[in-house]
Amino acid sequence: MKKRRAIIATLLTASMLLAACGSADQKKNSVQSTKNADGKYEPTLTITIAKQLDENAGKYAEGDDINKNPMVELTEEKLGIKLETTLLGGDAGNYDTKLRLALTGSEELPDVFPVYGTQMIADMIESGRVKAIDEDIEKYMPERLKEIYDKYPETFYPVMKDGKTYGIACAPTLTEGQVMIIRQDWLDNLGLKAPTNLEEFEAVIKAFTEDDPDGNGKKDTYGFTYSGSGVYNTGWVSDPVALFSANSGKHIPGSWQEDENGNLVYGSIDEGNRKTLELLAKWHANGWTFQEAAATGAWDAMGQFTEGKAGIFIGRPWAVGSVRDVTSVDPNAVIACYPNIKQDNGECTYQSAQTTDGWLMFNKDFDNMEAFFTYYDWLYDVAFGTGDFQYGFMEDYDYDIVNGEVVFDTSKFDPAVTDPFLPGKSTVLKNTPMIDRMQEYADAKAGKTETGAQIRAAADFESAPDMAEGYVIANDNREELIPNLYNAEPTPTMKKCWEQLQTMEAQVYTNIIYGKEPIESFDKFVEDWKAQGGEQITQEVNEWYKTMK
Amino acid sequence: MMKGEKDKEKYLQPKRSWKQEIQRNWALYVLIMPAFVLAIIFCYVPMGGLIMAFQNYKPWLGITGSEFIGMENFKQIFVFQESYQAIINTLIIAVSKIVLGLIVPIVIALLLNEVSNVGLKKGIQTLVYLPHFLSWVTVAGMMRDVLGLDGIVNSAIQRLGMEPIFFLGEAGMYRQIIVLSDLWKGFGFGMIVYLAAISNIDQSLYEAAQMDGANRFQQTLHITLPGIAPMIIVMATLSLGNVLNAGFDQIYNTYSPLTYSTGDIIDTYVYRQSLINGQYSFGTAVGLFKSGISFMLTVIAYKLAYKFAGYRIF
Repeated sequence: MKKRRAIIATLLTASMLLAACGSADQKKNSVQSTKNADGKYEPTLTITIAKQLDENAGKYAEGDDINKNPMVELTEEKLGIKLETTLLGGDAGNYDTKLRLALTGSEELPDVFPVYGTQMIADMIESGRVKAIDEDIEKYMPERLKEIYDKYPETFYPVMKDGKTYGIACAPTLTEGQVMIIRQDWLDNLGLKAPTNLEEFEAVIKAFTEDDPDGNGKKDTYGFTYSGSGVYNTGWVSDPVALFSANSGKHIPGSWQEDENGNLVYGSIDEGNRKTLELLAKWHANGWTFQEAAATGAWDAMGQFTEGKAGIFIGRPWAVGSVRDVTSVDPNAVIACYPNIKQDNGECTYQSAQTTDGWLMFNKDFDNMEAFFTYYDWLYDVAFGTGDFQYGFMEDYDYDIVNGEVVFDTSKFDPAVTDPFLPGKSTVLKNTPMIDRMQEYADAKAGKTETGAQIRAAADFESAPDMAEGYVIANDNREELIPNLYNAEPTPTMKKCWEQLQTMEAQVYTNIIYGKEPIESFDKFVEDWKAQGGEQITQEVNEWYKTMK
Repeated sequence: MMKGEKDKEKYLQPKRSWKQEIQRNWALYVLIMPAFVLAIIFCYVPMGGLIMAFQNYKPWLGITGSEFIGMENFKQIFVFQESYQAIINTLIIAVSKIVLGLIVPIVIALLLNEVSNVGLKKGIQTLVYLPHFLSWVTVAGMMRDVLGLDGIVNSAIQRLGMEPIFFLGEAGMYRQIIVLSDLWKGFGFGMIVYLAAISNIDQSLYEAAQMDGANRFQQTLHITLPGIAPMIIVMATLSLGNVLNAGFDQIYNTYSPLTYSTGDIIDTYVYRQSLINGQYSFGTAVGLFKSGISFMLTVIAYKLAYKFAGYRIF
């Protein structure tokens, strides 16, 4: 008897658990909410989203949190759409784990969620839990957004499978290119000009090392700092990639680009890069470059410039702000941005373009894409300077109007605030959408200050003219930015071999530069690379590429 | 426990059936129950997940639905030259760490035991124990600074009129640096364990030895060392379980393409390998492979310790 009662109790508990699981699925079928005359949804429509928490998301006011804050409230007030974050990840790894758990069913998959890796995108599509949105894009995506997406067709590659589209890039825009950042005072002391090709570059770094550019009588400076701790294409700061491009054109290390027949080839095995390696080895042996580059990451390698040791590095224009402390070592230090060197035939050198930070994907059961695009377009008002968001999202938070002038520097707000809540970090996106990240500096320089972006750029010209000039230079040299043409999930052979190939590449490149291996190792590397899976991968990559064209 | 004692124990405790045993000691069994249940739930049930090592695991299909691919994941560990190199590096680094990590603390503990000034002794004890609490990220940063081209070691070398050396970029020196820095960080901890064991030795043994005319060295050799032998065996046996753990934190924070050839270990290799694709199955296979080897070595060490030293840990 006792035993039977125990069994019944167990069964009851189990059935209750099952019931609890079941109810989560039923929640979806609420009253269909529709747009009223003002373009507002009634009754309020809830869209659940996922978020990878950003480290600098600003501060919530007392009692506010991720689901209750001014931006969420404004969205609800204006559009009748309530955004609810149901899946929250701390860092990238944590967020990915939670998304994968959502695939196992132990977490709920939100209606709309950003995804930050091609493997994850492929997993999502394969699991059948996400929606193909071709028709929705056609029907609901506003024209001005379509124009933006048309500019970046390659951002659709990772989310396309069997002719269907399973997501869109998160506010795609061309990230500002890298420029050459030089110690202008050193150039002036030695009566030199900024280099425009490899030959001049060599002369300048030699002079920076041997001719005492800071005039202190000590041999404590050298020419060029870069990072060589991985593939020789960092993409943001301390990047040596322009030097390689000077000899290899578009076939820069770590990037897949078309050859003359329109087939994709991997840049690192291009013959041109051999020449640059030979040069770098010579420069390294002469002490003209950063001697610990192989064991130093991109950010730390830039520190050599800040410490007043190195005279040149290549990085995004904002890096000027990061190395400004060099004046505490040498009060006479002057930082200036220059265009990257050119190839010997006069064409520009290339670097990797970045056009998106993640993709938005949609739950298969999410049935109100119109509402999503209404919301998404509303967010874009801030980029176009239209509608509700002429200068920014919310006055007193990301901008303020003081005495009739728009200010973005929070210390000049009325009243001044430190670390305010950032509405731009409280949307389905990680960052505020932008149409361009360089053009506004050129506009501001030409005296155009109408949109929020241009006003911001003009403010930068006041506070950091050297950096703002860098953005103008980056804008003038947009053609240098080329996206990696292979950006889908790793191919089957890649999954098996890619890491070995990358390890081999880093080892051979670095060992050649450090003189541990002769330049001939490059030829063996190219052979080995092809033999140990590279050939197969190139084939697979091209099969994929044909389906995209 | 000596063999004789074991026989005695058999003699004293008549064999009972398990029913009698439970009736007699039920309270003890109730007390141990929660720990037992927790161990089952959190240590043994999850082991079911090891099946993943033999599958092509997909999160949305789950363990029951994913495709079985047999030993494929294990084969992948051994496909590439790099992985052999990683296994060899792991063994060399780990074994050096185990051997030095065993000998050095004993020697230092014996030496320190002979220091008669209590203040000095305690001072040294605390100082060498401190690095144990630093994280490898911190120590790696210190190593970069100290061993860098502008670091303190190289400025000394340059004073002596020699060319500076890029220590962390020299494949030939990397393993030595890793082992020595690990020793520096860890030996204080082992030393404290041995000092504690030494302080447990019966003082009358030393008095008796002195009466017999033994000098300090003979006392150390014939009383102190045998006295701490059981502790040495415990530490040795436990450390053998780490023979495939060469120290991910330490190496990940200090290695570079220049030192892959001598410094890349299984853990760092797998870490890079799984970065590009969330490969649960491969990761599980490597974990299982490592656990299998460690388990075997621990069992062997345990048997050997019993056979040669008559000592049992469990």
